[in-house]
Amino acid sequence: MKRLLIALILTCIPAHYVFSYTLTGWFEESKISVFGGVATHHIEKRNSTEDVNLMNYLSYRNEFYLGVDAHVYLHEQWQFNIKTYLNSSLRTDDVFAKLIYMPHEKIGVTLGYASIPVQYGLYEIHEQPQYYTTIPNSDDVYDFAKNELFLAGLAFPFEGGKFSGTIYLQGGVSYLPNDFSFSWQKKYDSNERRLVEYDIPESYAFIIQPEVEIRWEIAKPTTDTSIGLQFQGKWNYSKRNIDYTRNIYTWTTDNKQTEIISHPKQSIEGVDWNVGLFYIF
Amino acid sequence: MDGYIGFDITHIQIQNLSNTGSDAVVTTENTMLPSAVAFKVRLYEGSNSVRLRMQPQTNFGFSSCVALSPPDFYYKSNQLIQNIRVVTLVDYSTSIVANTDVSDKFLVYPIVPAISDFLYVSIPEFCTLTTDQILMSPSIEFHLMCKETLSLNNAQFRIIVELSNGQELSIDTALLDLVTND
Repeated sequence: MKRLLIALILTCIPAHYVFSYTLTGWFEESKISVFGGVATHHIEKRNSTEDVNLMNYLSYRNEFYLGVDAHVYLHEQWQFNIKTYLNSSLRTDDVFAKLIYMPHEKIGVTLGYASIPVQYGLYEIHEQPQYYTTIPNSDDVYDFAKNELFLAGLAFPFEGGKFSGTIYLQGGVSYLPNDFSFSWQKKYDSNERRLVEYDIPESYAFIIQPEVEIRWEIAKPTTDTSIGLQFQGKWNYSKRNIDYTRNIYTWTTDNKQTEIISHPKQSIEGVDWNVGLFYIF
Repeated sequence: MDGYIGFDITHIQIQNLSNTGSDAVVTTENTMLPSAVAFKVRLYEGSNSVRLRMQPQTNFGFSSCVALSPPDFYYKSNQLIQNIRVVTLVDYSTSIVANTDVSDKFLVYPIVPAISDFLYVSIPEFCTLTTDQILMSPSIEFHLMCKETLSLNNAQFRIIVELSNGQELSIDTALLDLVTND
């Protein structure tokens, strides 16, 4: 998937030139930009009861990133945007795509998709006082799940002098996939052993995500091209909980205790901004 | 060759386990925590001739010259374990006196064959699971773990293994001092 997305971005430049000759009128304009920025998420923490509150152990990467963004102005009113971030692990796990339809010069409709890596702090989830805890296949512990966003909204482009940009008002559904994790626990100074399983079903939450993009044109090398500075910022907010089923097998697999755990919803707030250079051609 | 070497279970060995840490380890001390009474039991063939029972491979008169990794030997017990009984030789508690069968107080963690990831199995389940198992060594080994916290200061048990050939192997544990960490 990642390779496909990178390939799509890298294809945007040659595609524009190639298809502008063969499919005249389909590709009106393209924009590619490179930027650096910071994405942070704040998850409301609540004192949990004796039952683990998974929201307290959910985390997003809060860090500096480099990114690349391709925006294609297709025939008539259609636009397509795809963006990815290169994080400190040199991975491009963050992916954003947007389809924009502009029936009017001042307002458009958007459909968006985003995939953002999230992680559960499994060692902290499983760790219990009085028990030695082992998470088998611990290499998988740091595998990130994907928080996927399915968005729809409105786009409001603006322009004034050398400044231009778009304001997006979007909302939709934030999806967390199902997950499963288990640990082996051996009680201190005792023969007692137990197997603890967390079975997390997929979950959905409503999310709002306003977004702004501002461009400042610095130079216009030719009549069809321009170079400038770009700022992109977005904020998102959602409230969700992560219910789960916990199975505890004590001593043997026959001795199973199952509980369905639910907690009140907690807020997730994300801020993401970046600055960079754009090239329109 | 049938793919494995058969062996007879003729001997039983028992060792004390210290299970205070994350894993049970063999100990020579006769002191245990009352909440972690545990033993390692090994059933094996007394003679050292098990590997000599491998049949030579036919070479049809040719002298072959090949480089091989050290061969993997596979074993299978000629006897099935029908039952394992644990009898307390001293008073187990104020209500369970000496010479009482306390098998239901114990669970098994199989070592050879390794047929459980982490949790224990009951003694009857262990007997079933060991049936027709191909083994990596010519012995059956398991940990016998008491699931209760003993209330008295001493413990001693007799382990009796009943085999499918009608033979019973029996061994006594040492007299254990049960001391708490406090």
